[in-house]
Amino acid sequence: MSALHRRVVREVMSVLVSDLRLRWRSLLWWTVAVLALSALVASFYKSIAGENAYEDVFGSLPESLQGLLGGVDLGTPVGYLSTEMYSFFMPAVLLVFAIGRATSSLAGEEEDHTLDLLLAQPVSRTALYLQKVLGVVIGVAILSIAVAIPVIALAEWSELKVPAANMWAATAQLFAFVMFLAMLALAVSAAVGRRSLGMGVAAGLAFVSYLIDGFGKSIEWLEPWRVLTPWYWYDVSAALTDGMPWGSFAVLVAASIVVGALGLVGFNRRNLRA
Amino acid sequence: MSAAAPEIVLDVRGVTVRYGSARGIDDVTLQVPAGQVTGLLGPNGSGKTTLLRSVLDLVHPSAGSIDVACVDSKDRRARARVAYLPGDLSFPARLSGHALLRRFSAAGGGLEHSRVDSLAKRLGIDLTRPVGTLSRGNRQKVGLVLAFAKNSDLLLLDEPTSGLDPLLQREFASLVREVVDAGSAVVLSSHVMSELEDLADRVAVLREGRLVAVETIDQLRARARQRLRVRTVDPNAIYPCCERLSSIPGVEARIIDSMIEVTYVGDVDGIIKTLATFSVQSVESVGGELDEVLLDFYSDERFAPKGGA
Repeated sequence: MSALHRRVVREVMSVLVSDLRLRWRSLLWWTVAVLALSALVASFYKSIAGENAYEDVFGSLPESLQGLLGGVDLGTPVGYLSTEMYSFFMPAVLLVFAIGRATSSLAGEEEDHTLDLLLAQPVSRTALYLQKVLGVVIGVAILSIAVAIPVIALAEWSELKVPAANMWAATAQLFAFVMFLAMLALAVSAAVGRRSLGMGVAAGLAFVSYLIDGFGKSIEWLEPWRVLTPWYWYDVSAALTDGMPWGSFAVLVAASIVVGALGLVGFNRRNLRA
Repeated sequence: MSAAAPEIVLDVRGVTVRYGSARGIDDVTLQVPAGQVTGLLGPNGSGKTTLLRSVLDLVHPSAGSIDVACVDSKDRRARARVAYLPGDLSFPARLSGHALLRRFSAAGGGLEHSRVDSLAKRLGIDLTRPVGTLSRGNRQKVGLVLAFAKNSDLLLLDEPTSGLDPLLQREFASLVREVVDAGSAVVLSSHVMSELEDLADRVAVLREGRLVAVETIDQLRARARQRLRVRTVDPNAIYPCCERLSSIPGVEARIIDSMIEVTYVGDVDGIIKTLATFSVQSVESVGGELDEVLLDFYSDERFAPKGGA
């Protein structure tokens, strides 16, 4: 039993551990950068907390622009966190990391001609694919947590107070959202063997769907399309206000699994380039 | 029992791979026995690399099947005892040689660590340096360590000596002989015959994705056009002598610098018997070039891939 167990672990983890060894330095720097950015944004709250000026300016903006900016006022902790941190800034930072890592994990190795030697070992393509996905999951999870830690740690001083459970709910939402687009990037790039195509599709979808979701809040004919965007299901305001929105979390996770499975089918079927 | 045929380690049956524009292979059948070196010969783009990569399931045959030690190549276990040296060798640049060996042995490479150090020493390669800082030749050596340190029944080496200096090519040859003596099968690809001539027991010749011949080096030599230079005692006798030689089937004769140059394939009997009727001053064998055999395979219409345009 334990021999079998060891063999399974070996099959599933071997390349993952090697990849983490190969890239822990870059992950460390990303983590430090995200911690610093989050601490910076969190500490700014102290100087604007309770001021109505922001609320007035925000209220005077056209409704469509309010929607694009997150649609909540900046004077409250939840409004500030969702607008300044979670609605666009941190997702964008994490997406840069996640899409880069996702596309380099298989398509990148193929383009660098290092995939051949790896798959010449008795590792199945499925096992390799899963290990590469797991590598991205670990990176995105660490960075998602790194966003929340300074906010929680500085809460007393900065007055940016949100229940810890809600912070972790927002963290889970951020993780699931970024993972969906990372999964799309990994799946597309692995299925065609081109890093650039995976990046283009994921980044393009992130951008276009951001506009659809944002403007859809105020433009009537766009509204029905919002449900098709990942941003719609990335419901961080609800998470910060009421705790974990399990429904939208499940939608993002399910969509990631479907996209990932399709990418795996494509990757398994394809002739790899030398 | 001792006369039993050697075990077939690699069995390629009617494999077709459609790949890219012209780099596929078409209906290739090849058996590779244990304890032998099989050369894979063909010009660039003839499908050598594609054939090797189909064994590793990196490209999927659209027809045919491949067994490695009786395991279907689609099963990952088929690769457990196969060592591979890619022709286009690249490594993650920041890893040291040792870290690379760890990466691939973790992936089920089954490296024999005791062999790593002795191999590194024989090839003169420092495994502590990041591979990104190594020259092309030295990276090739890391690839060789990786291939030869693996406990394998089958070694697939794609253009293994590219970038190696002559001294290391000799070391490489002795490495190949050692693993073959130990009972492994080696498949060695090259686009020049001279690289295979001393090492290969058999040579499989690929042309435009099709296998046009699988022959031993001796059989190939027998195909090579041999050349003789004949000088007659009476300088005027060379004309009738040349005419008589030319009339023998399969023999060409022409006069160069008051000598007769005779080119022939196969046995020399008819030529000797004809020459015996003249008084001959000297016969000099110039030898045949194996590379010429290859050119025959590539240019001769008899070996042209069928069914094409």
